[in-house]
Amino acid sequence: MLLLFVCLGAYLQILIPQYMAAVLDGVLSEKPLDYIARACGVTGLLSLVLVVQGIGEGYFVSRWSAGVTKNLTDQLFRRILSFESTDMDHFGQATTLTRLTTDASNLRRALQMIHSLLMCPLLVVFSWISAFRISKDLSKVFLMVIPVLAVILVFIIARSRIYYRKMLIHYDEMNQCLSENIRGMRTVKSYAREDEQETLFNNIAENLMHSSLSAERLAVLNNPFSKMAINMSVLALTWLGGRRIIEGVLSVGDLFCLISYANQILYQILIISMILVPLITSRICLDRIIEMVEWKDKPVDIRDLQEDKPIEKDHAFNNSSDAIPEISIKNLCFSYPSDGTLSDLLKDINGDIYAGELIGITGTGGAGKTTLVKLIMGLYKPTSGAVYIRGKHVFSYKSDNRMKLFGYVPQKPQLFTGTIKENLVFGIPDPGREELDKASENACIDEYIKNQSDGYESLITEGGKNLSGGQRQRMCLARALLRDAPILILDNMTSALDRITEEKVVRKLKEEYADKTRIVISDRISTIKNSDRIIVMNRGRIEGIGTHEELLQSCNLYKVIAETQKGQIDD
Amino acid sequence: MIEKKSNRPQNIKSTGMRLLRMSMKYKFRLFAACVCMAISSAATVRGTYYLKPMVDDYFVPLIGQSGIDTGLLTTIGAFLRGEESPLWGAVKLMLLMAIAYTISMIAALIEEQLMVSIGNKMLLDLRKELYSRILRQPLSAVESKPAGALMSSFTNDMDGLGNMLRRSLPYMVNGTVTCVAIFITMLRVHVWLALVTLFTVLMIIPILNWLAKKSMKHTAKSQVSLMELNSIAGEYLQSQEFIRISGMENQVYEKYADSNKKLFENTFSAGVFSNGIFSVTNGINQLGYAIVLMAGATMALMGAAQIGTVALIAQYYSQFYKPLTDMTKQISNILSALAGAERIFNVMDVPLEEDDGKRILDLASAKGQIVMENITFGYNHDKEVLKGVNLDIHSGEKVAVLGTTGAGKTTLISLLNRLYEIWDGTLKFDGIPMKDINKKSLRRAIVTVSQDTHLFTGTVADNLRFGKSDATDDELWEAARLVGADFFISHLPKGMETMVCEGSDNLSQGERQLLSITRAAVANAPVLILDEATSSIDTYTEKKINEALDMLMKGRTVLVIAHRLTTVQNADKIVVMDKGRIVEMGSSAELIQKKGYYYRLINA
Repeated sequence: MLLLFVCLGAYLQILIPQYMAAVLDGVLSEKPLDYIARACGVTGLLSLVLVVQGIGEGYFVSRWSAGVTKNLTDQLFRRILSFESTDMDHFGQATTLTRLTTDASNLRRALQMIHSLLMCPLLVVFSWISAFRISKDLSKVFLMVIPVLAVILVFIIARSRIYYRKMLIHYDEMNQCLSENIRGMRTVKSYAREDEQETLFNNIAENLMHSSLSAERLAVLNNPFSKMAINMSVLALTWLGGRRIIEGVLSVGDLFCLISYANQILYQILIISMILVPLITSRICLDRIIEMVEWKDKPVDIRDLQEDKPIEKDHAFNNSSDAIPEISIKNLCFSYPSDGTLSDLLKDINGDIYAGELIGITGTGGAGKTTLVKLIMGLYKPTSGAVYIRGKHVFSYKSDNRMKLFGYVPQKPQLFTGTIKENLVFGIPDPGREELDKASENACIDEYIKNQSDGYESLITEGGKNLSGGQRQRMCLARALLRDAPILILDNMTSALDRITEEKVVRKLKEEYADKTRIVISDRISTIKNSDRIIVMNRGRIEGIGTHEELLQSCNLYKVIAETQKGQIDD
Repeated sequence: MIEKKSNRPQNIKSTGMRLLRMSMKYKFRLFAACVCMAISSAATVRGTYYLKPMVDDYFVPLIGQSGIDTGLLTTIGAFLRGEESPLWGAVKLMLLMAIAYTISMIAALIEEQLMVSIGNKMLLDLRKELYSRILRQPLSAVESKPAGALMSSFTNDMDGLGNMLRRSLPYMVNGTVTCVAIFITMLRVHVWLALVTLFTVLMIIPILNWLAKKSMKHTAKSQVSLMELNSIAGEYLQSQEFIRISGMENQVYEKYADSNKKLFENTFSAGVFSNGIFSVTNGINQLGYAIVLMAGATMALMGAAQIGTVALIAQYYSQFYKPLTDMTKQISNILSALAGAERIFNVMDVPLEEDDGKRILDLASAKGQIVMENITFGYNHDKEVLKGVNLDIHSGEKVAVLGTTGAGKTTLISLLNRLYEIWDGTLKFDGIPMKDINKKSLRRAIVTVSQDTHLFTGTVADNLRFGKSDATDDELWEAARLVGADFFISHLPKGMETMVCEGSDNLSQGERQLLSITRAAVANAPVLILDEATSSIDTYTEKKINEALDMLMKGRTVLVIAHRLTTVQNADKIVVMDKGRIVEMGSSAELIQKKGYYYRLINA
């Protein structure tokens, strides 16, 4: 549809000067008025059609550009949502967001101009052909001027790209400076550093101005040169055309037509030169978006994950019960694919966890505790070994079924803009007020909610900014409890709580949710010391398993951690 | 919730006037640019004028005459030989035309270079001033806005304004001047035809007006939709893993898709209108052309106009219309740029932090004694966080503050260096009311270390010099040694000159904390405020940090939100807070006897 309109538009714009030429000639040759009137009438009619064409063209181009971008961004967003954690790590959050927002906007803007890419050359070609038909000689003028102009413009664009790139670097520097100073304003003011920070910023801003100036000084040369080219062509045409008028080979109207075409061609070249840079940039954006959309979803082949090593007895944490373990880990090894290092993040983890157990996991920083639970939930594919949930391989569950097994509180509390209720029932059907109250009470966030003016309908803004760290954690805990999943995985959910609240939460967890398998990761011994079993990890391996008392005797690392933390009161 | 940004400037006149005043700094350059603009337009118009006599006086009369040598060179040659040549006049006219066009190009070149220069420099001025003011406004002004909004003022709004200054505005003015010049010349050439031209132009104005209004309305809507969509994207992408775990992909996708659909509709309609303006203008341009031509032809037939005149008017018309269409495109750009400028000015105009304090503290002899009398404060005007707090801290005393989350501990210590102003009560430093002390001087006397380490792009040394701008390298190393950070700094790739960046990974959280503590040591202030909240750092680094903090606390007045038992037990005074008040105060032994909150906390 769009193509049709574009071609129509090009054709019309060629026709019109010819009719106008007819008018002029008609006057000169003193044709009757009605001849002239008819010519004018046709011109007028064509103009009106041009208006309609323009509107139609605009309609279709807008619809198309907006539609293409919408489809692409929908696809991209869906694809990103389904990214495995390894995919997300591969790209990184920053570029993911940029591609979805900035690149998409660039693309949208460029697509709105893309019909010019067709229209301009079309017009140039049509104009030239018509000019050629009018006068072979004079059309040579065009052939001389066009290449010269094109070369100049291309040169200008090419050079200015270098400057623009430099300018973008300076722009990024300015943004970085701004961002860290705005977010760190408290520090700046506390150290009374306003003057110094101002000087720093001024330097960066001046660099930006200089590179911006260089770029634009060059880019802006386009206009005068193009205008000059147009005017000189008109001049040449006038003279050469004038001669031919005298010789009777050309009519005044024809000359006028040629001038019109000259104007048109050069103007179109100018337009192309102006849209070329944004179009090229947008092509890069398009490529980036498509790369992400088409990123291969490597399906997990269960056959790849069969364990082939014998289970090492001394590092297994089995219980003596005969029942099928809720969670069974066999020879689990894992390292991040993006990691260049050869060492495994997790090495030879073995063990079983039984339904209803309260397991605590602690250890040194970076020991792999969070990685372990993420593997249990099937978020990453292990390098070797396997995780079984209720006897079935974790990846043999369909994605949504698998997720229903777990209630998860992540290390960094995640809340969304919306009401408290919306956040709490995230992902589950509304369980009713009673359940909400019960979960909030068990998470010790009920008092906070009661104190809000709108209770559950109160708003949480921008990722939970209006709550303190401890309140955020408890909110996330309530959400996880509401899911009523058989396995609860709580990663560092008490780090921002004071001792008294922490003790309450842990007690509720132990008593109210005894029917669930609970895995609690914590750096604080106080949180987990009443667990059924505690796993101590260090550098990807299990250093010890047992109850708090047992570990104090048998595990050195645990002893050290406990000692250090004896001095913590953590309010 | 997105702050609904309107893209319509509320007060065009005052914003425009303010920008004009700012540009007066460059008035000479501006004046030169205007002169060049005028010359350029006049020259173009004049050059084109020569078409008429060329056609009327030379080409048309000579049609059909044989024997005329029309070669350019022969004509010039003939002139030089002093011979008569019928076309010499035409050659002269052509030369004049060429000269006029060249002058026009040179003037336009100069004018555009000037405008680019002025535009960029004005933008720099604006950026500098905006930043300078933000730095000196009360902390509440910065912390109450989402960081993104302030950044947007520096980037999006400034860009829009820059574009306006460098492109849209010059186009507009240039276009107006050209159109006026052309019109005046047209009047002098042929009054009636000029009036017909005017009529066709006036015809289009109401249509353009209506289209422009619609276009702006839809553009504004699409901008808002875009912000909403990107905000949703940003929020959910951050929690992508969690969304996947919760099995919420579908619902989240629906939210995104709905917002995207809205964006599609708004962008689509915005595009239709803005494209519409262009194509309607174009089409009516041609229509007007036809009308003018018709009128011209009629007049020519009636003998009221020569053919050259008609050709000239036609050529002028096309030169007239292109700037006109360019201008209509620029109107919406200019309006949204002005809206951005308004936002910038709004941020700028927030009153600066008041500082009535005249007294400067002498750090060497300062004792670091703090008195808080009846302090009442809240972040929002409707909610008190601190209610009538009273506390005396003697010089060199170590005071530990405890309490549940939300009790007001962090708030209390934020008030001491007047980052926020108390509502009621008195604060005194060394017996002097703090409101009488120069704020910078006060802040240099009180140093804060909290869990949120904030480092800045620069070397380690640059960051450490935050404590004291003119600290020598020796002083920096001494401070590092004092807190035990010298080992790790000397083992960095470039030692003190290693580059640090806020978002980068080259330092661990623990190492950042150590740098933050060293920074405070460099400041060597008589009063130290400390928030001991620790994040999950490994035991070894935690030990180092604790040792560093202990060293830092020596020989100063310290107010610490305590998390370590040792800190509390070694404190001279313990303060327990609850719901914005001090509920217990005394030494460790005293409070244990009371068997109150402190007692419960220790024994939990």
